[in-house]
Amino acid sequence: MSKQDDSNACRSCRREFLYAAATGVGAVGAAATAIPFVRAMQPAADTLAASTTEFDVATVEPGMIKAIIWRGQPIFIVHRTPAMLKEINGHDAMLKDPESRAIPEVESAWMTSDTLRSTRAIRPEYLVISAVCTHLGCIPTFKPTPGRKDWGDAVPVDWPGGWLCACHGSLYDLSGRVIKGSPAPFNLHMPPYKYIHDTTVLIG
Amino acid sequence: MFITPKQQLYSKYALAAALIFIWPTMQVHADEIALKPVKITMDRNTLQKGLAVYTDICMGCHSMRYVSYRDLMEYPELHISRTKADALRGENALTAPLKSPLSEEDAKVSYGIVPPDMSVLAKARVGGGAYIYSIITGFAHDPSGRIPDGNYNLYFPGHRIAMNDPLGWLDHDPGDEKALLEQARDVASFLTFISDPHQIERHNIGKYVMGFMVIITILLWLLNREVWRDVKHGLPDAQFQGRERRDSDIDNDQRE
Amino acid sequence: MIKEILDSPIATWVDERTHAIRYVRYHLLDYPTPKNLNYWYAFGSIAIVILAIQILTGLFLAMSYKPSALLTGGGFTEAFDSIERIMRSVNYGWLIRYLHAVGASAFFFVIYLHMARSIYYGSYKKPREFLWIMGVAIFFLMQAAVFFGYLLPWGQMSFWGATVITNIFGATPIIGHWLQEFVRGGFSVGDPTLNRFYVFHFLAPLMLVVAVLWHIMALHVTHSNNPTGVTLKKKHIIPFHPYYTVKDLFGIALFFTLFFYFVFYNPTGYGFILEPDNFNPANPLKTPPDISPLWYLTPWYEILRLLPSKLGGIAILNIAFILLFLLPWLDRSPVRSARYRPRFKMMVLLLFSSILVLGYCGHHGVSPMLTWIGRGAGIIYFCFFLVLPFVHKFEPTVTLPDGEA
Repeated sequence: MSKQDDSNACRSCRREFLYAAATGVGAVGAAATAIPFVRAMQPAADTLAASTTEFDVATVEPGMIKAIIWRGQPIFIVHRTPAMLKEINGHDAMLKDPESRAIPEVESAWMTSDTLRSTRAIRPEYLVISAVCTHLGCIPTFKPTPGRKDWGDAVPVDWPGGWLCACHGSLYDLSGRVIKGSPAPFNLHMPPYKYIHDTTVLIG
Repeated sequence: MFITPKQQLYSKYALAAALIFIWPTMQVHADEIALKPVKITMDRNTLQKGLAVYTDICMGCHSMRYVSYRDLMEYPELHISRTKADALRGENALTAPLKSPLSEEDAKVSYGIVPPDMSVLAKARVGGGAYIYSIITGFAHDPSGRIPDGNYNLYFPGHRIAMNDPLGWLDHDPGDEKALLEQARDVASFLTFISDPHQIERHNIGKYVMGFMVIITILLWLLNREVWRDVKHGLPDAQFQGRERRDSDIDNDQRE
Repeated sequence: MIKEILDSPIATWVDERTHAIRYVRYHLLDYPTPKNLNYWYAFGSIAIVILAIQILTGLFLAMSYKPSALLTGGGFTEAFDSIERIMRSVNYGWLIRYLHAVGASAFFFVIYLHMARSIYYGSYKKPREFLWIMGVAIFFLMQAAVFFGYLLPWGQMSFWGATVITNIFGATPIIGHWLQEFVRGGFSVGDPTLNRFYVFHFLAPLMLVVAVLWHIMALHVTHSNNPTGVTLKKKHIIPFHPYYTVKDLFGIALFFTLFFYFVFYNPTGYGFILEPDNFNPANPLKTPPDISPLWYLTPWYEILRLLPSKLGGIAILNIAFILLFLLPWLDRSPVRSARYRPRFKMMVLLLFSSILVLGYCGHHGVSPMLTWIGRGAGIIYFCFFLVLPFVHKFEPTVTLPDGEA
């Protein structure tokens, strides 16, 4: 009688073990199955391969702005005149992050001096900057001249010149730095770029 | 299974009838051209040599629209250096496909057809690599003399091929035969690889998947056997009139 | 563990408001099943798993596929290009596509065995007529799904296969010409055809899911037949779980070991799963030397060309399909399983071999010998249905215990 009970107990524990083992191995398999499907939704090899863009900044006239596409998102190239470059300084008190240090996306390895941190460009006359408002992703409008003369009361009285985002009223100066009181939290992002020839930049 | 000898005979008739029926159909289609056997290998050395044959010879006419110079660097099986890729691409972008300098219009004028793209060629031909190998080492003199030399190919359907003997196989020096065969084998291997560039990765992942499947199948088999111990056998069975049931009938009916 | 989950307060809370748990309990756990089902009965579960895989991989392929016959140079199209992009650039795109392609063949393989089992054990007979009809409907929906899906790569076989089959519509009396243009959305198979076939291919699994649910609903009312064909007494009935959950899972694992062998080591299946000629882009100016559908459609394709008349071929193909639907009413035997019907068994084996031979002939090109072999097989196929209403008169008498029939 007791012998039979033992044998039944053994049967039952063997069964429990097999259930657990099959469930465990099955769970591992199900988890592994998810990998290719998750990976399939990440950028494909050809998308990654097309992640750099070349652009000749000399094609932008002084004082003008041009938008180009990099990785499907717009980048502003601004040819800043000496007058515009002067406008960059002197309003640090208005800015949320005058030295572009808040998050890694707004700074770059080449920003080694205070001047570079305020001009935010390798060659100060050519600003290469992301055109995506850091608030909710709209594209800001270029309003380069200072004051309300050209823009009316859409901009503050002490407007230093820069961008106004029409969606929610975020303001940026001519270096793409966000002005206090804007809903946008950060300066416009700085894409990785370098000069590969005299006036040709490689973005990405 | 519970049936009388006479009825057993019926099912044997049925099987025999089926076999007799199927057998002659197996005899049709023996007239297809047998391809030359070739050992396709996918080591880096062979593939790089095959790539060189492709870029030196084939690419004169055949493009590869789905393969870029960058791909040649990035597929681990091929993995050519940046310097080599730069030398191959010349003025082309790294992400540009391998495009033949021969335009479609010029090809139509010179050959009458546009040479097929080679990116998926090995998958698009019955025999794959062996087909390519056989074609480029299959040039011969037409026994009937109708097709000019260089356009007669033993393995091409209809024997008339627009492609002109790319390796110089026709009337080759017997001393060169080994080198030519190796070139043909290398390029056949390369084209087989590039037609499905993830195949090595696929085979590698396959080992783990098959291993996993064997383990879980064995576990489930054991579990299945264990669970079914509970079920008492003993099933109803039909009885043909005029015949006693045998005990073995019951056993045969019960698979579990 | 399952028991603990189903008894948990949350499950009870949900069940009181939706009855979801008691559905699971009845249809998956306690569902009464004959105890003598053999491994042939696992193919239904296997087919459901394959359907799930087809839907999942199909959705992921749709994320990268472009249904466009716009030429991109050298005879290639956006559709063909997008599939090569899936094969080369999309991460694990090759795996997802091969799963989908092998899955299509596996689906038919499993469904043919499932149907063969059903015919052999007489599972289509009363009271399971609706179950059978729904099953045949699923089979037709699958045929539609593969037909639409096969056009999508826009290769040579895609294009010419679609051309040939849409030509069939043109043989319809009176409205044929109009119907053909209506199906194609143009005078020939082209970009509009590809776009609508993509939509239909996407629609097919939705309809399949509904049909499969109805199939299972019918099964769970009439319950499973069994190899004896006899309606079993209660003492021979066991719950679905754990006996058939585990047994079916084992069958699934065994089948998928074979399945994954093909996916990882032989995804083109010697040209039976993916045909070589379909890796050539579609060329409307050049018909391939040998147009035959993939292996699972070849028996029906052969029936289509049995008669030397276009309309005649289409007519007998329709009859061949209608006969499948009528099977429960053509078979007038009081006994279900072929086990106890020796003459029926012989006929069934002949039917199965005739379908195999039809498939063989349909796969190969036209030759006088194959045409006659195919006609012989076709005659056997139709004779099966012709003789079926009378065959029970010639069976030996049998006494069936444990049930009414």
